[in-house]
Amino acid sequence: METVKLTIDGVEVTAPKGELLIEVCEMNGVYLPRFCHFRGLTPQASCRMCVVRVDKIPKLQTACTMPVADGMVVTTASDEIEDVRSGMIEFLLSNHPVDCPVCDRAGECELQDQTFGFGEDRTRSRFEDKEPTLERQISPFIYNDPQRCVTCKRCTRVCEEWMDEFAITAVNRGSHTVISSFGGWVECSDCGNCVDVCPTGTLLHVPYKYVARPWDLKQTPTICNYCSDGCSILAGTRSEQFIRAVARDGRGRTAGGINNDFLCALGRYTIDAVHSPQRIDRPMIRRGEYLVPATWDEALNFAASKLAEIKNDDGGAALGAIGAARLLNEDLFVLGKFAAETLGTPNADFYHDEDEIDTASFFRYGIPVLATQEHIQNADTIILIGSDPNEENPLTAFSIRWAVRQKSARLLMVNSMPSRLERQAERAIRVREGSEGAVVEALLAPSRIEATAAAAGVGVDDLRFVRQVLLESERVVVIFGDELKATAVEALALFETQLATPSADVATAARNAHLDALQRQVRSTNSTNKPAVNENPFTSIVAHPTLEVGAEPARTSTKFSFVPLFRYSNSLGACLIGMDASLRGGLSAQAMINGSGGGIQALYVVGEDLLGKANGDESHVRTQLGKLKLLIVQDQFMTETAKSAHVVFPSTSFAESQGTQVNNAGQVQLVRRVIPPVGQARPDWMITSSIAKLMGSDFGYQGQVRAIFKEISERVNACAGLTHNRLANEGAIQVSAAPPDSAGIDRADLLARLSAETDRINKEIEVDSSELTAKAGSRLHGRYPLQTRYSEMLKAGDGRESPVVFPA
Amino acid sequence: MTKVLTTRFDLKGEACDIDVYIKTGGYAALEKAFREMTPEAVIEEVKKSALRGRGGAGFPTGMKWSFVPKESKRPKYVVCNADESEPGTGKDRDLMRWDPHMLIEGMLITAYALNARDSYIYIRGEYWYIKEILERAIAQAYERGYLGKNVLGSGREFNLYVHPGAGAYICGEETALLESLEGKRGHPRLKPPFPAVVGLYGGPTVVNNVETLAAVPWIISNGGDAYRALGTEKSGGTKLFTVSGHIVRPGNYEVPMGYPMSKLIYEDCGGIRNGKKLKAVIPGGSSVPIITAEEVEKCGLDYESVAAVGSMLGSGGVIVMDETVDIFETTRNLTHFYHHESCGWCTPCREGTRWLQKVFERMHRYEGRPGDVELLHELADKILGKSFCPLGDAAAMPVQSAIDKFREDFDRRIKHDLVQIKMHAAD
Repeated sequence: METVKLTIDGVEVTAPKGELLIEVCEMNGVYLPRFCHFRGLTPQASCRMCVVRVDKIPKLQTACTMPVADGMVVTTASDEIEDVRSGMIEFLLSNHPVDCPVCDRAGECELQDQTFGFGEDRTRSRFEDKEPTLERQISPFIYNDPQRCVTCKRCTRVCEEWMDEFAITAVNRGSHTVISSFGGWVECSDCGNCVDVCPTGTLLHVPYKYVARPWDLKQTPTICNYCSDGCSILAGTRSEQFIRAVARDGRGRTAGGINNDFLCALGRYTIDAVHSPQRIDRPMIRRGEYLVPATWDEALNFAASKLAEIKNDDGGAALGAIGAARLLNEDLFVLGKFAAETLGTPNADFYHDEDEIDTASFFRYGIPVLATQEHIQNADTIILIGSDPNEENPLTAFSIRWAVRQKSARLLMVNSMPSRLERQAERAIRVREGSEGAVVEALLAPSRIEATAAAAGVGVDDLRFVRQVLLESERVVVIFGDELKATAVEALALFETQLATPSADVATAARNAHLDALQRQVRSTNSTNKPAVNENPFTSIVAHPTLEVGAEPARTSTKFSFVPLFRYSNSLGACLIGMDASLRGGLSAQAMINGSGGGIQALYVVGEDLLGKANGDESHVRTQLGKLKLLIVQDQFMTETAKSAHVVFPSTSFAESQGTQVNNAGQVQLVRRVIPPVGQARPDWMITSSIAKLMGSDFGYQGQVRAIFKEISERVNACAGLTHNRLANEGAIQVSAAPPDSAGIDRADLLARLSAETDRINKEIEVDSSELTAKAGSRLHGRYPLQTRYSEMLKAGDGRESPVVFPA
Repeated sequence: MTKVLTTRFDLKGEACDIDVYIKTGGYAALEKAFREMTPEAVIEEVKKSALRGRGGAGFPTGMKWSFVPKESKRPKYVVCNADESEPGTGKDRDLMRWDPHMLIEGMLITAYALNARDSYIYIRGEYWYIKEILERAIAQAYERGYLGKNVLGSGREFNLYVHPGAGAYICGEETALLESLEGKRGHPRLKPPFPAVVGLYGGPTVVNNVETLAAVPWIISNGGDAYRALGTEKSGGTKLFTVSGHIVRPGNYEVPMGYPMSKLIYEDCGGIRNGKKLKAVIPGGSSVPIITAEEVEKCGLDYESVAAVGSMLGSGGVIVMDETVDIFETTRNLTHFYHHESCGWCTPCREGTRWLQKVFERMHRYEGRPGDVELLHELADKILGKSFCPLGDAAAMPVQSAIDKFREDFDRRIKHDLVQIKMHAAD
């Protein structure tokens, strides 16, 4: 990275060339006050707090718009500068209600902090100088008190640049400027990022309003449990209640995770499921028609003796264990070990059905290079096949938008349903539903392009274009979702060899041509449509390396890296630690259900609602479960499956147990316990190992979850060398990839299977326009049948039926 | 006195017709530029003329044009700033009303010099009737082949559009004007890059005032040196002044640069109305510091001379005030205007003008507190030079100069009751 030397307050420092002065100052320990500046948003220079004196420039300069240059001499503190800063604070406070005692932001308010740091201790403004406005609710999740606003417009920029939603904007003029929306009611995906970045109490979370003061909050960094992105959250707890989840608190502290300051609606507003009244609070045993509360000893003994009985009568193979893919590694590992060693059955699986990405195919030839969020943000080209990250993996969608906007990355989309990301795409191809695999074949086998185009129902030119772009690019991130079926997922392993860039020159030339074309593009005149690429001269010359200041951009070692958009928070982990039935040689979860009453006599289900996931086949599953001699369920909620169980154990949620999970980039992250268990709940691994102990096999963990992970790191190569301590200190650690050896792949066979698949698509899927209708919508939220305030409020919000993105 | 801009004003609108305009020597400069001059020569001629921007800042026009990069990936544009919103200024209105073709001709020569295809006139929304005049004139120019494809056989295409504003003072600031022209909210843009490099739709753009562009045909016809000779060494040519207030004959006057201000007021405009004495003059539109009657005597009408008495030539809106005027009230009026027109982008202008107005309002009710005059001065000082765009300075300068020069009008507004004096003393 090119560097320059400059002098800040008499100290010579070295900085990345083109970096903004305000960031360079901060890197070197000189904090400049700011309201409008926010890392990664377009410069605004409106609050005038960060003024500095730069030699040879007559006027004071704003450090947030000034790229550092060689030989620059900067003064950041002098009487003159301090006078300006205190003047700006005085201006801001002259029309601020100063109602800190009733403001939720007090205590973590940047206006408070900066007044304390840079303002005067008295003001000349008087009460009658202020212009009072009324506080109001502008969405189910956002309160707005315009009088507290300092008009920094972080919120509107976050809405436009991070989320691409343009839901809120500044209305009115001059001192009457307020943050609002057209019509006054905000219609958006309720991500709440605008509230997080607000430096004052202007925007507030409705669920958190008047709930706690910041100094009463205990904040613990942990990992969100709702999708496979694995964002870090700061879990705010008070009196053993989990009351707030944010990515960034008012003082700018983050959990230091892969998501920096970003968090989506689900991570933020669904946490109250933890304290839901629907939680199961004690073990229960079936007595005839009813599930009757029991003591832990009773229930554990009951379960253990029944399991032992069936194992005696029908043999180990008659038993099955099913775990949910959102459980922590420790829970799943103990479950697998319990099945193998105590029950003596190969039938253990994490629940995944044929609609999901086939993990076995993806990992057939080894662990491919997985792209982290940083890799996505620094990719040259991103190809998205299937899925809509906007709804299912919001952080991935954020990173894609970041790459396109800040780094001029090329986004290609192959999808059967509409997505808002298409606005950022250079080419978005809408294929027929179920034919995404054909596009993969088109990329690998150019000779079959006609047939594949017919199968996908798209033009040959589109496919040629996509292939051409992939060939020319230097670093490509392939993001794919459920729509890609087994053979196509397997074929992704061929990308590295089949789509290698001819030469570095070709890649450079293509990149330059792309940047040139962007330059030529006449800017859109639509006021609600910011240009896809950041037009601001400062951010375009500032080659923001990553969200981390001064770091080298993250690049993968191979040309292609992958992001499988798994459905659940730990799908990848479940597969890595060997809970996959295909690896164990036992029955899959589906096979176990279908085999109930026949080969399977007892099921041990952890955290999964088999009936809820039955996909319209509920009566069949219910009949099958009815045939079982024994159904044991561990769950947080009284699901339909739990209701038909013989014994039910209350288990802890992610907030109450410690453990690890692996996100879709293969990053192992530590989930911390933020509150004690609710009711009598116990961690899943503890319940399982208690039963194991009663059945005669002591795993020897002695109640220590670390001991389980130690065993995992010894047994699972990908996790070798990891410990909870290390994860706690270092944050997310990516498991080592073992890229497929191309020699080991039977290329001809794979391509033949792919062709057969395409031909089948061509034959079986009729061309029918109704197939192209959107099926996006409630998929992510629908996976969690939890009673949360989130879903309740979405229904309640001002008579509005459903929100835009996540209908309840 | 040589007239440059107002030669056709006496025709009272007949020059709006293209035939009359051509008969009186119109479009000759355009033909000369197209047939005899290279674009570089046109820029050189304008540089020689010492023509300076007539919108207020007085930046040398030729230099502004030469900042436009020759090679550009994006199209270049010429934009005419006809958003004449400065209180006390009405020169552009008359230029466009009596002689629209001169502006069109000037813009075409500019577009030729900069190799731009499309040009825009951003006109103040309240000038809707002038917009109609301009559009008729543009239609005639298209008919005669001065606009459209293959202009004057040069093989080049020129288009001209009129775009009305929607009533915001800030849109007279060139970058806010460009935002507004693009269809966005009128906020100033961050500079650099200047519009000459990244302007309208991201392309290099020259934004010039109506008067500036209207002077271009004369410069091309008669040469830059001739134009420069009309005025002073550093400020070439003539300038239109809108003289308003307590004078016998208010109106637009074209005088050469360096013309004595007292001569303009007492001779051309017939002196102060009703035989009253002169109290103060705002020499360049409401945004510039006020000057006293004594300063008027030694003030010449060019950029340097006005600066010498501590004010600015600005847009040339001369507001004359006689001895009956309470300078406090006029300043209050201006502050109200700037508060109303502040766009709200940056802190000092948004909050400062509001606060200023609040203090002015209570002083207006004779409820000023001891220290309020100093407060006004300090607030203005906190705005001056710290705002994002020049509008903040424009709001602050009149206040500071009015207090400095007419302190007694402000002091009268302070209420000294016994209690307050006591409290004040206890401080």
